[in-house]
Amino acid sequence: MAEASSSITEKFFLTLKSSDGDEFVLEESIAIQSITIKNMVEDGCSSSVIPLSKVDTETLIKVIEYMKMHSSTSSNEEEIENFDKKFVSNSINTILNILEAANFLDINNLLELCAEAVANRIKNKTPEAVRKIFNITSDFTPEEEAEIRNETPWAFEGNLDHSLD
Amino acid sequence: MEGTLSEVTITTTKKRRMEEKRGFARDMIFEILTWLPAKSLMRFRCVSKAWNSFIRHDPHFVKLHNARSQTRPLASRLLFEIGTRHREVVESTSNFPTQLEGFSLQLARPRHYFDFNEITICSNHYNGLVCFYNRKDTQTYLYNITTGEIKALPSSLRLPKGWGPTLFLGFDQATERYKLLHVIFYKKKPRIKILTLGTTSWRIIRGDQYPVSCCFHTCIFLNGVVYWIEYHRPVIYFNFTEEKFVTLSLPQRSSWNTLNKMQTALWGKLSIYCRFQHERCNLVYDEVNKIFVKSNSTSDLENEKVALLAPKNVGEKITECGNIVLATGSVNSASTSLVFPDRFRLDNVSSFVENIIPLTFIEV
Repeated sequence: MAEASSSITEKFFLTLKSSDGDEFVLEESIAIQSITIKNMVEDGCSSSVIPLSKVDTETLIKVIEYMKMHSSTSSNEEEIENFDKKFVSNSINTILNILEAANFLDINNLLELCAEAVANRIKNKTPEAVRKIFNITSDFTPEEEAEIRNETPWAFEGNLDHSLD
Repeated sequence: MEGTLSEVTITTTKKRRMEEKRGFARDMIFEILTWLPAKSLMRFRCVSKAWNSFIRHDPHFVKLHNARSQTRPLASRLLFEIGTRHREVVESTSNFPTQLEGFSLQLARPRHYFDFNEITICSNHYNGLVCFYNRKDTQTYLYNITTGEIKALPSSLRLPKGWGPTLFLGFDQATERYKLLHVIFYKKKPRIKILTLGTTSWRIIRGDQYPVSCCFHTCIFLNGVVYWIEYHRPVIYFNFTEEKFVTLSLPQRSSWNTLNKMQTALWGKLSIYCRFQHERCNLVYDEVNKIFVKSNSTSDLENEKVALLAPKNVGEKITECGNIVLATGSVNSASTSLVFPDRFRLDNVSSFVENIIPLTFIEV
């Protein structure tokens, strides 16, 4: 798709290495959507392989997919919108992994997309389900928790979702 | 809006503790939570102490959440004050109307100390906040409609015996402080005072422009400004930052101007019913260009209506709480008019965006 313009501007490539040791070669112009990578490129640290010790292979593949779609000049708004919609239909755990990666790589629009998606998925859940998803142990005493529940009993009304995805 | 220093410190240490225990950085949790509706946030306060302190003690969180809510369609809600008519009317019309698309009301039902026989709404609504006045102990309260939190305002608000307060709640964008405007008429002359919440003394507002009544039915608060619309008079608004009244001229030939509250709330733009010689029309205020534009959709207004769902339940609540209830609802479809069954009296309607601001953040 982008080959047509390649004769005019020279392309630079970067190699990203996941925490599992897999390497991915990516066009620099696409990779620098990540502010973390952009800063490394500007500091001249990108001549060799860029190790991403906090991002596993599965997650990195998804992040690269996202960056490719969002930088490609041929994708129109509708295409991007459909891609994003499909992208956030992944399991909540996958989205949380991508969110962590987006936070580390400093890709703001991916961070917002994932954060909003997680919010949409958990908004009708019970606090118990949310604790399990985020692997949180409550540090409230039963009395303290009861007090919070009593302050806004309406927030606990309605059909709440107990599922973990 | 700022929390105290100790609150911020507590938040930071709690955040750090959470970060150590979990893989998820506090930034991520912060991001996720800012996209949640108020109801979910109030429920997730009990997930952990760290989550609770974001939601209840972090001024940055509350601010960003409010900013994001402005663009979340379901966070925009309409606030109603509804009363009932006589019992006979109530019984004869309890099932009207069913043929229209419905919207349901969530009753912002006052808890424990709340009794509308004793308590009156004594201010406009601003940013999801409103003032209440208790006739019995002459105490004024600040109430957060989204969270149901209530806080007594200082006794410096106490008024001369026999005067019920008529307050206008506003926000000074420059100092980020809430202000209360108090208007009373004494021997046909207005006495206008202003108080910055967090300070103790009322200041007198002077000037030759002022509203000629202080009834909430003729005024509406929209995008940071209170507008007064009175028959045969220009529109007046109060600027809470500059602390002065300003007059807006209506197109010259118009007369008999009344505030169109329902449309103002639904459209988020000041809307006024006017008469131009023999023609009636709706004027909509264009804030950007500062002009009134004649709305050409007037004739369609009658056709796009949304009706109140389950009016029976609302009626029961009204009987329980006194004669007026505060209720909120959101209308998803782009309707232009809401229908209330005959037995209800729509006393007031305004729009607001969910705001979880803890009242501890507002110095009084």
